[in-house]
Amino acid sequence: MALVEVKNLKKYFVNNDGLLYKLANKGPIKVKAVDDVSFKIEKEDTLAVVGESGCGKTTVARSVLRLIEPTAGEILYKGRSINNFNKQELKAFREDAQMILQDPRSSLNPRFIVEEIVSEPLYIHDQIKDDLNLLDRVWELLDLVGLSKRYSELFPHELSGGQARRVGIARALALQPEFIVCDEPTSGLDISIMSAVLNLMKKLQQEYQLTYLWISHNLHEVRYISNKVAVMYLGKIVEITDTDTIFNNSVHPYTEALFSSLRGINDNWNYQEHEIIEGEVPSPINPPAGCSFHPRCKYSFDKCKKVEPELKEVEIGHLAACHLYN
Amino acid sequence: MPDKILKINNLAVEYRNKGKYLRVLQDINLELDSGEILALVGESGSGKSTLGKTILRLLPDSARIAEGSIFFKGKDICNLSEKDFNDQIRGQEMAMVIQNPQNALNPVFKVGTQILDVLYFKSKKQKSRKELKKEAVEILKKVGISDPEYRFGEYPHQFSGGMKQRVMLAMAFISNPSLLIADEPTTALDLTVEAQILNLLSNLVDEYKTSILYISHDLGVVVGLSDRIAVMYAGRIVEVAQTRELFDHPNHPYTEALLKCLPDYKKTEELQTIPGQVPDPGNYPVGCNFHPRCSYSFERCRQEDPRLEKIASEHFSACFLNDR
Repeated sequence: MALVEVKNLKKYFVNNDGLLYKLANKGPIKVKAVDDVSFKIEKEDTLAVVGESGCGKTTVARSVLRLIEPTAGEILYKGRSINNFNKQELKAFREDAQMILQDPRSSLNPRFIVEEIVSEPLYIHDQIKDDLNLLDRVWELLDLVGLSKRYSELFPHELSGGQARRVGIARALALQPEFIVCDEPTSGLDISIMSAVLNLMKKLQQEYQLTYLWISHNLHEVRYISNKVAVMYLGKIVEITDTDTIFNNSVHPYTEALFSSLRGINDNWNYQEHEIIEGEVPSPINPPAGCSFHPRCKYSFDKCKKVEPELKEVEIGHLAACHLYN
Repeated sequence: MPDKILKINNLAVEYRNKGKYLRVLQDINLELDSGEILALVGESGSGKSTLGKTILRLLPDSARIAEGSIFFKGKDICNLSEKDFNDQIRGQEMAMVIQNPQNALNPVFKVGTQILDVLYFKSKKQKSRKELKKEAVEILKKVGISDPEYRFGEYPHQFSGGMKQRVMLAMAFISNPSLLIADEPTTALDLTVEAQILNLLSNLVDEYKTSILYISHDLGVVVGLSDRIAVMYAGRIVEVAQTRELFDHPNHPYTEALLKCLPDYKKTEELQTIPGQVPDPGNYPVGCNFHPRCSYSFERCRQEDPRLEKIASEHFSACFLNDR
């Protein structure tokens, strides 16, 4: 049984407020941020979700933890549907599933010192036996992420970006979760700090048998950290398979285009002869008919403009949504 | 030998903080050939943006040039009056593209109007804006904006990030500058759009023969763009080399460590990390700035400042290991 299973998840954001909208009588604006997404994450796996901004990857991350209510679809955690959890069950679930937020600084309360930030989950979930042990536990957690004891007395503004990120990780680990959603945990960090955070996350995964849902747009990092990759485009998964396959034998034209912009430091290349993909991601308010990638796709044919391709198996464990393979 | 468009000698820049001057740039020596793309890479706080701003004289009042000189086309631009600098150089011979295109365009004016302004001042107020409109549309078309006639009358918020950066590039290239300072122009953009912008930039450079000082923290980008790379650490340039040479044979321990930290899709081995933190400006250690974090450091590194020295043709490094 998969640890996390997402079935036909949909999240539409609807905007129908505002006097002008009502007067113009245009009807509500519907943004299909996530449109029919399904995937499974096995225990101790890392599923990376990649895609450009606005493709819905953060919305998926938030829906999986029920931080936002999905419009439709089901999310199973250890076989139980979290959609129907009552308040107590949800609280118990949040003990098991944690999140590392994208912005290391704004995700820490500026009026709390690090000790309070890291111990807050313990308070909320009633896991404190006595106050003396609490400080030990905080130090232990800080030590785990490579911060010395003295950091427990600092305020977030006294921390560097990398340190703030580590505090965020320590807080996520406080309740010894099994599943962590990591929303671009390395964005905005310098190279040397980024590699330290990546190594730390990998080490923690091995030590505590953690399962990650890893949101990222850095493909080099994805290669390093994940064993499964889902590529998203305009609210849909266009290809999902294991990391080795996606880097070597991807089939979807969008994956191909995305990875063609990927070059290593040891490759001989330059931007002038670089094959680039034309156009930009269309607006999710008014996505193109048929396959949403067809206006930018160099292989597109008649069917792509009319019929929306389904996510189908092209080989075992490798799914893609493209008419070329059906 | 091609002419040097930019020559920086022993430059040092200081910021005033609580009555004291903190040195944020030290011993900067750099040359730029015409038509060359030089990438300036380093982590945040290494002083790369400060250097870019110093060249364009955009430093705030609290900063001063403590030592050294900057020669642009053989002319000492540090001693030029502000008026002369503005009339002759800034926006004419030198242009800049900044990181966040959202902040660089005025939100209350149409994009077309803002391009017309640049053209109008370029024509020394001789031509009317009406006459220039055709030229402006032509420019939009050239940087790859579809339906330029229509886009001309739109406001910046109607443009996507990639399109705004295209407009910024268009405006920078209007005056046909000899030097363009690009301060992380693609950081805010998506992968595929980043590739588009850098492709456009490479083509514009080829066409206009402009030199570029490309400031970036992303080694993965500069490898496909630059001719040479200068690596900065804690206010100093620690290594300068041809792009391929730098990646294949890094000399300075900092460059070497940085390359080992970089996740790369072809790399399978464990990522390395650099222990410790980048020192705060004004609180640099005695001796080589990198020695507290360097695994090779020895006695001399703690006492003397290493200078940038030639170690091979067109390859300079500031490390005492080379003297051993």
